[in-house]
Amino acid sequence: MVKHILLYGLVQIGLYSLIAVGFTLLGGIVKLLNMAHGMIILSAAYLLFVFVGKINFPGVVSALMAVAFIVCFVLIMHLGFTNKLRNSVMGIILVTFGLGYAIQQIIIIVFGPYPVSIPVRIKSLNFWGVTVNGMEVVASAIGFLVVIALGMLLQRSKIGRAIRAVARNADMAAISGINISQVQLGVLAIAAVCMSLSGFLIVCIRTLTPEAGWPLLTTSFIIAVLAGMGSVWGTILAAAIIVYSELFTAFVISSVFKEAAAFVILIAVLIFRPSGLLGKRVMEE
Amino acid sequence: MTFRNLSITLLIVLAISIGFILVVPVSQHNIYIINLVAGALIMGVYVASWDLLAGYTGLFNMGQLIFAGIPAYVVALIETNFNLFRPITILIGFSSAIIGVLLVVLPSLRVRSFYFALVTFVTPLILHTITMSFPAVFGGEYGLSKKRIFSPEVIYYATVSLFAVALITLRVVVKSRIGLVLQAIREDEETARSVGVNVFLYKLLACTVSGTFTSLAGILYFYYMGHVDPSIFGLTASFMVVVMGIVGGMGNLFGPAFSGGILSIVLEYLRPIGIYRELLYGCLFVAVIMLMPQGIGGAVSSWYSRKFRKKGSS
Repeated sequence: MVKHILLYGLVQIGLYSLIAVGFTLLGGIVKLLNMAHGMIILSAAYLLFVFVGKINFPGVVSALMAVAFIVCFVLIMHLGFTNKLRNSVMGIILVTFGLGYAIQQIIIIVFGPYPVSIPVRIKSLNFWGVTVNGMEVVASAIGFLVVIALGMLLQRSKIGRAIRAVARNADMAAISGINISQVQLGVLAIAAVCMSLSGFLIVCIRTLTPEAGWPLLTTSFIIAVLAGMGSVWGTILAAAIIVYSELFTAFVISSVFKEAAAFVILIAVLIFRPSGLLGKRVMEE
Repeated sequence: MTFRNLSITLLIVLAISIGFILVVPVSQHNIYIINLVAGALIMGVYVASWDLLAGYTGLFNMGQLIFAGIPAYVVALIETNFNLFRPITILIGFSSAIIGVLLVVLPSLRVRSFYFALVTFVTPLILHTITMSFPAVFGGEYGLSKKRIFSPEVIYYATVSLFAVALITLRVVVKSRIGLVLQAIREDEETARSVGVNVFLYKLLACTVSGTFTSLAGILYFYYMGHVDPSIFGLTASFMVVVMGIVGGMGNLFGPAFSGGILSIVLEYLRPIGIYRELLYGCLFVAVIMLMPQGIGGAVSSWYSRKFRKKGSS
C-alpha cells in the first residue's frame, strides 16, 4: 500500500502544481484572486474537446487556438473587470466568482450536463508491481517541467526579477523604472498558458462535467494558501503535501473524505502559518 | 439607537408582517401562493442575516447556507429515524448549527477577511460531497424526506413571525453600539483593534447572530418542504444568497431582505426559460458589481436622498 501511495502521488504532483500555479501567480503578483480559475481551466479543456473531438483539427493547432482564446479571455477579464476593482479585494473575488458562474452556465447551455473527455491511448506503465496510467505520467512530467521552468524564470532571469519586485512592492518597483502594467499583462499571459495546459492535460486523463471547475478552484486555492501566494517552489511542495494527504485519507479511511483532508490542512495553515509554508508575507502588506 | 427609530422600524416590520399574514385569506388558502411567499420569506431571512456579516462586518460569507443546511439535515435525520419530542429535535438542530458556525468560523476569523470568504466557499462543497457519498445515512442525491407534519398555513405563520423577529433583531443589533463596532471593524480592522475593540469577539458575535437566524430559517425550510437534499450545500444555492444580497445593496438589511424575497419569486416565475435563468443571474451579478457597487437598494436610496436634498436646498 505504501508503494501505491508513493507512486500514485508522484504521478499527480506535477499536474496538481501546474493546476495551482496559475492561481498563485495571479494571486501573488497581479493581486487578482481569481475565483474563475477552475472554470477557465475547464473552458480550455472544453475548447480543446471541441477543436479536436468535433471539428477534427490536428492536436497542436487546436491546442494553440485554445491557448490563444484563454489568453485573450484572461486579459479581457483583467482589463475589463478586475483592473477596475483593484482597490477592493472583495470586489475582485465576487466579480471573478460571478464570471466563473456565468462561464459554467454557458458550458451547460452549449454542451449540456454530459461528461466529456479526450481519450489518449498510452501504454500503462508498471513500476515495482504498481500499474500507473501512462497519460498520467506524461501529464505529471509536463506539469513538473512547466512549473520548474517557471520557477527558474522567476528566480534567474531579468524578467523574473522584475516580476518578483512587482509582487513584493508594486509602488517601489514602479519607482525603480519597472513598467508595472506590462509585467502584470505578461504574468496574466503566463498564468493563462499554464491554466490552458492544465486543462488540456486533465481532459486527457479524466472525464469532465460542467461542475468540475469548482473542485479545481478549491484545490488550487488550498495549494496556493499552503504554499504562500506567489511562491512557485512552494507550490510544488504544497501540491505534494495535498496529494499525499488526499491519497493517504483515500487509502486508509475512505475516498469520500479526500477533500475534507485537504480542507483540514487548509484550516491548520490558516491558524498556524497564514503566510504559507514558503510565503514571505507578500499578501500581508 | 433612539426609541423613536426603533419604534418606526417596529411599526414598518409589523405592518409588513400583517400584510403577509393577509396573503392567506386573500389568496383563499391557495397552497401554491402561500408556499411561494413562505419560500421568499425564508430566502429573505437568509439574505438579511448574510447582510449582517457581509454588509456590516465586512465578512463575505460565500456559504451562508452551511448554517441552514447543517440544522436542516440534523432535524431531518432525527425526524426520519427517531421519535423525539419535537422542540428537543429543533433545539438539537439549532445547537448543531451553532457548533457548525463555530467550527467553520473560528479558524478563519483570525486571518484577513478574504480568507473567510474563501474558507466559507470551500466548506459547502465538502459538505455536498459528504452528503452525496453516504446514501444510507443522508439519502444521497434525493436527500431526506418526511411527510409534512404541519399544515402549510402553520408553517407560513411561523415563517412570517421568524421574518419579523429576524428583521427587528438584526435592525436593533445594527443600530446599537454593537452595530457601530461592527461597522468600524468593516471600515478598518487595525484601527478598531488599536482603540481596544476585541475584533475577534465581535466578529464571532456577528457570525453567531447571523447563524442563529439562518439556522432557524433552515429548520423551517425543512418543515416547509418536508425535504432536504444536498443542493442546499450546492454552489448555486449559496451563490443565490450572495447575488440577492449584492443586488439588494449591502449594509441596509431591508434592501437585501426584500431583494431576497422578490428575486426568489422572480426566479420561480422564470422557471420556463430553464437553463438561461442561471446565466441571467450570473450576468446580473457581474453587472451590479461593476456598475452599482451599492446595489439597487443603495442606488435607489442615494438617488432618493439626492432628490430630497435638492428640494431642501432650493
